[in-house]
Amino acid sequence: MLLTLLFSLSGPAMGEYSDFGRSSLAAKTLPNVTEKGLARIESHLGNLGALDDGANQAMLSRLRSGQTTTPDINFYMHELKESARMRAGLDYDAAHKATLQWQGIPYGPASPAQIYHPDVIRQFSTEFNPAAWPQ
Amino acid sequence: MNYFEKWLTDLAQRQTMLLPKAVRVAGVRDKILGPRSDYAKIDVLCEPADSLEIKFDLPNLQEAQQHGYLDWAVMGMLDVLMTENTYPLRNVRLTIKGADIDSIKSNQMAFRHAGRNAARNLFEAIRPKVIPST
Repeated sequence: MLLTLLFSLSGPAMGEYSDFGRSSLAAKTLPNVTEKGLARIESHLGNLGALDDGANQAMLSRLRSGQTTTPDINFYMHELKESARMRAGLDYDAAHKATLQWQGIPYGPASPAQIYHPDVIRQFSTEFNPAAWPQ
Repeated sequence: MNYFEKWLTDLAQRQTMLLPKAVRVAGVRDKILGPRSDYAKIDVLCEPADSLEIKFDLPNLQEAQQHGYLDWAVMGMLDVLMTENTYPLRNVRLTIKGADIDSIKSNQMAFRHAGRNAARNLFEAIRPKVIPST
């Protein structure tokens, strides 16, 4: 229920995003990015001690400015879903990997390339595995 | 006055502190950053020397050098060695004996943090300890 509110889906029910992040994503209605959802993400990142991370701050700034490219939405959905899974009792590692699987993103050195916008990875390239660097 | 230039000049010219003995330390960076994580670990032998010397003596040298990880680890050590105490520790031979790389979580900055951690551990190891009297 809470997740439904945070995602504030403007079209299909949340369950229809089970393959979120795959190539079919573009054909689907994107979730609305809400201030409530962003606040939830900030709380989650704060709990992890990662809110002051430059790349995370850059992604939050992009979302607040209305950016809705696939990596922007992937970041938003990933953090909300991961946060919900951790509140349900999963540890970080399990929640992170389950969320990637839910998004259809393979867990590997390049997975951040699908969750962070290429401009952000370029700006903070030394903080990303080289496999995630934009070509 | 250009304070940044003054600060840099001062850093290079000030007398070095002396390392009293050889010390082997580890430096680790292991941190969750939300949608990604950092991991890096180094093992460093620190010995007294007449000037700054850097050596690499580790089994996975090629892998560790591929993305400049060892250079970033050294820069991380210098971040701390040059500024943490009253005098910089410049006359030291640093031999990186080991580098633990995670194929998913490692990156250049993670190794810089690991280098900083190693240098802090070095200072902790050589810090005079107060021995309680009996």
